[in-house]
Amino acid sequence: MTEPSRLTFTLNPLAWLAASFALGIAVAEYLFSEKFAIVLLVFAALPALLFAGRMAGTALLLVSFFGLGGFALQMQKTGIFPHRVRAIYEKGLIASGEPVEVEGVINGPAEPAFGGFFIKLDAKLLTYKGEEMRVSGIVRLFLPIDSEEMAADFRRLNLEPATRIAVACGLERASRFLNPGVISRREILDRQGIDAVASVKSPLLIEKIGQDAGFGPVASIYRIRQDLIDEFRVRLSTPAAGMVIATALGGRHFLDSETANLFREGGTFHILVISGLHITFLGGIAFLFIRLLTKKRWLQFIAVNSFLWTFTMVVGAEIPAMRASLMFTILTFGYLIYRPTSSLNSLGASAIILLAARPGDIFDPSFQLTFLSVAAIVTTAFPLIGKLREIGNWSPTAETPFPPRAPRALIRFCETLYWRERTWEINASRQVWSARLFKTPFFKNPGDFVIRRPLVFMFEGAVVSAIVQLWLLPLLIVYFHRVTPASVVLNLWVGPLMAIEAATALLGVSVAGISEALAAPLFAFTELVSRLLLFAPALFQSIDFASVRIPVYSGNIKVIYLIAPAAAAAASSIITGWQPFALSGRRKISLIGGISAGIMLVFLSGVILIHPQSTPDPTGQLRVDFLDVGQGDSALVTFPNGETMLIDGGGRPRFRNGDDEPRFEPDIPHIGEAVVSEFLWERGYSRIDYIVATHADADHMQGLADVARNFRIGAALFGRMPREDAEMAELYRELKKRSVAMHETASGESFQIGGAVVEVLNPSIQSGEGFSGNDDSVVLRISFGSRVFLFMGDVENKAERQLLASSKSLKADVVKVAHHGSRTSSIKEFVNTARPAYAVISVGRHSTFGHPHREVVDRWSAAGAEVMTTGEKGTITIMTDGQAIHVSRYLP
Amino acid sequence: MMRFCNYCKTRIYIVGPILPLAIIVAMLAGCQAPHSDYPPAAEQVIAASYALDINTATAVEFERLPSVGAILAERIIEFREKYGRFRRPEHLLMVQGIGDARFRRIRHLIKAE
Repeated sequence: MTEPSRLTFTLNPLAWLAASFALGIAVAEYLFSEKFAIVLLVFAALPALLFAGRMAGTALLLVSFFGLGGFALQMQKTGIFPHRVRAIYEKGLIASGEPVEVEGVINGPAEPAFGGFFIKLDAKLLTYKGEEMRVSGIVRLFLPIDSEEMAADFRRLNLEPATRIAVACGLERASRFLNPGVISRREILDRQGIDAVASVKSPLLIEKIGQDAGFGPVASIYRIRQDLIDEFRVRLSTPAAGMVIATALGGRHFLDSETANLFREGGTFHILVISGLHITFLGGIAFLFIRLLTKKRWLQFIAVNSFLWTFTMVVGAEIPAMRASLMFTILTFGYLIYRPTSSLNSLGASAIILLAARPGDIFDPSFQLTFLSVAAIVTTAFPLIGKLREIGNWSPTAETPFPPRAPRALIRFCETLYWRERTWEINASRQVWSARLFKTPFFKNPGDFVIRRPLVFMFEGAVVSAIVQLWLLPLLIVYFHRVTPASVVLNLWVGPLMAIEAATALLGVSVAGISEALAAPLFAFTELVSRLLLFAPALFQSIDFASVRIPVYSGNIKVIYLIAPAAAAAASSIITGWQPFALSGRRKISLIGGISAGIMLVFLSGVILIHPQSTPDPTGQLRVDFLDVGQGDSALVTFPNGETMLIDGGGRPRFRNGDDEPRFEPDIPHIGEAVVSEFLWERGYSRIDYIVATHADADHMQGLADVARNFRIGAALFGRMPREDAEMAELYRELKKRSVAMHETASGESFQIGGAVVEVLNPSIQSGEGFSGNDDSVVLRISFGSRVFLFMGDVENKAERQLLASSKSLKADVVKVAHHGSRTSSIKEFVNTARPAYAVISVGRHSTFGHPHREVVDRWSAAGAEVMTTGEKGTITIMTDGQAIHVSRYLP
Repeated sequence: MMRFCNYCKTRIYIVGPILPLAIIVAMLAGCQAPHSDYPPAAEQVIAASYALDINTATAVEFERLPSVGAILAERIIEFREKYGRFRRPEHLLMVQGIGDARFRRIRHLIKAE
């Protein structure tokens, strides 16, 4: 064998270049300036050419790619032109929500959703207050269909791609739910490339101006997709239709909330999104099929890839799907030019291409998850499985004359899975030599297809799943605050069943065109598979084992989330370097390295999972965070000794039409989950000592049910508890399931927590299980030192008068204004008695009820208070040490 | 990989393209949602000559329209003062409180000059 040339640094050059490029982008976000990036680039690139062929040249090339990454990021940031819609709104030239008329070209197919559909517009002109501006950028519009007339109007308009329209609507770009640690909607839209969004009240507001040159065949494919979606919704039950539409057609808007959450808790939600899994599966099947038709590689390449890219376009051309298709194309390109593909190299190549086009993507969780999981599979899972196969399948060959050196139990395990006696007999009979092999599987396989292959499939699937989970652990915790041990098993169950379900549903629709009678059993089978599919995640969910919610560390300890993947990478390189068939004695080093990397990985994972000391230390101060939950209330009180009390959890009212019709609940994140729980996790809490449910209104109580699910609750305080109320029933059920102490309070009760005194001022003692109205809201008076906080709940003027009549002191320093600043509360006498320094109103930026009413705000200001609303300022944090008060807002 | 005889290969070349084609045709046939009840060509909403010009009307005149009360009329005037004249009668929908249903009830009574 020729000596490897000294030029060989690595077998995967593109992977190293991609890593260096990515590192450059990541660092540039926090440290670089543009000049530094260019300097680095130039001063590293030129000498790299000089030193080509030497180690120094390679190192300099890596450094120059590092600089290139930084440069690319700067280019992307400065590439936001002033006439982008986004820039106009960010500069404040137009306020978010103001009525404008936007003219543009429809970009892509209409995306059907429940109750309407979405279209994306390539904006060209923006008219505000009669003034026309030339703009660019993409806006997304939601067009609700509430009546037959509206549906007829939309059909008449025929909003196909490349149609030019003018729409009058209120474009929005502001963020709601501005809380520290909670990802803002604006960021999510930016990642999708959308500058602003709007909901269009009526099709009459849309004016069709013209038709740009469109692409005929593409439009008909979109129509087929639309028709398929309609068919599925008619013929299948809601959960089944939602799943099939999501998996096969990429339509995310028909998933109902319950099914989607089942998938999330089982860690299998990625199956419902068109992602690498789908593309690989489809591409693989298409490839197998094409190989039957033609042997020419270039034909195969073109056919498979055009099919795949057409599919990607039709299902919406979302970025994750395009990434997967790009990776698949690169891999098959290697096949085309007869080069053995190093998967890591292909990964690196796709990473460089994608990051060069959109450097900001490196901060996108979807990008990180995709690449890390593929890297995990390629660098760790496949090599490991390959090695296990070799161990199990070993027979004497020129490369492997001796049996593998590995623990006895491992060898027996591999032989049980992989050893095939029949194959060995056939091969041995062809050799000139003869040999006897002493194989000791745990049990002899009676059937190759019946026993061995399913076993192998399950084992290999579990190994891949587990390794991916381990690699992704820090990401899953930081982004989703969720670890799903059950996903290792559930993925194997849900994946194949989902493929079967989608296939039979599609088959059913095609057969239905010929004969209804033949199609019916197919759809029945689809329903059966769907129910079977959901059975396993539901089972895990009911025994509460499926997933665990984990808070994150804050501060400098956060670096642990970077070290963990490094440890995983070290462990994987040990695995790749493990040579069970090696002849010489390199084992010692490998063993020690392997064991130490393994121990470090386990330790780090343990620390991340158990999160000791993640909660902030008690500061000796009383701290109140009024969260921005839009229309609703939620306040976190942190007592001087570190104990926490959550007063209400926000929520969105669910419009129920009576109790008969189960209305479709779309998969929109609950406020309690996406805002309140997220905020608490980012602070590092996994336990809340007290929760207070002031009254049974959805915008106060719904979030508490989610908080009860996600955190350990010490005790729950209620005013009245009408069990028949739907929101209250759900909260009650969750608390009962977890054996949380529930306590009904009434006026007169008081207790001490960490030096602060909590008094209950409302409701009055004659309680009962009657209807819990606003006037029965729990009113709390928390005093610490000489400072007093009043939390008024949703009480109205009657209760305020009662409070005034009672002998309690109502003077306060901070008041959470009752009922979101509605004029039903905050009567003059009350305001003048309380005379706080700060009046906090918890309300959304644009309230449909018009909260806060102007006269209420004026009343509080006239009494000398500084009035702040959470909708404007985001989270409002007030801290006191008993004497001084310190106020900070998320938005200054 | 299975080895095909030459005879079988011919069969594959004929059956191969036909089968997926048949499936696609069947799917197209199956998905023909009944398009028959397309409404006729756009009805021209011809406002009568007594139609109210929403760009010059006063609050009192707005109140005369069915389904429009005092508060809504006030809001329309405020909107017009803040954002300028209405380019089309449909833009009246932008005022908070006027939804699709309400507008359809009054659309034949208004115009925008």
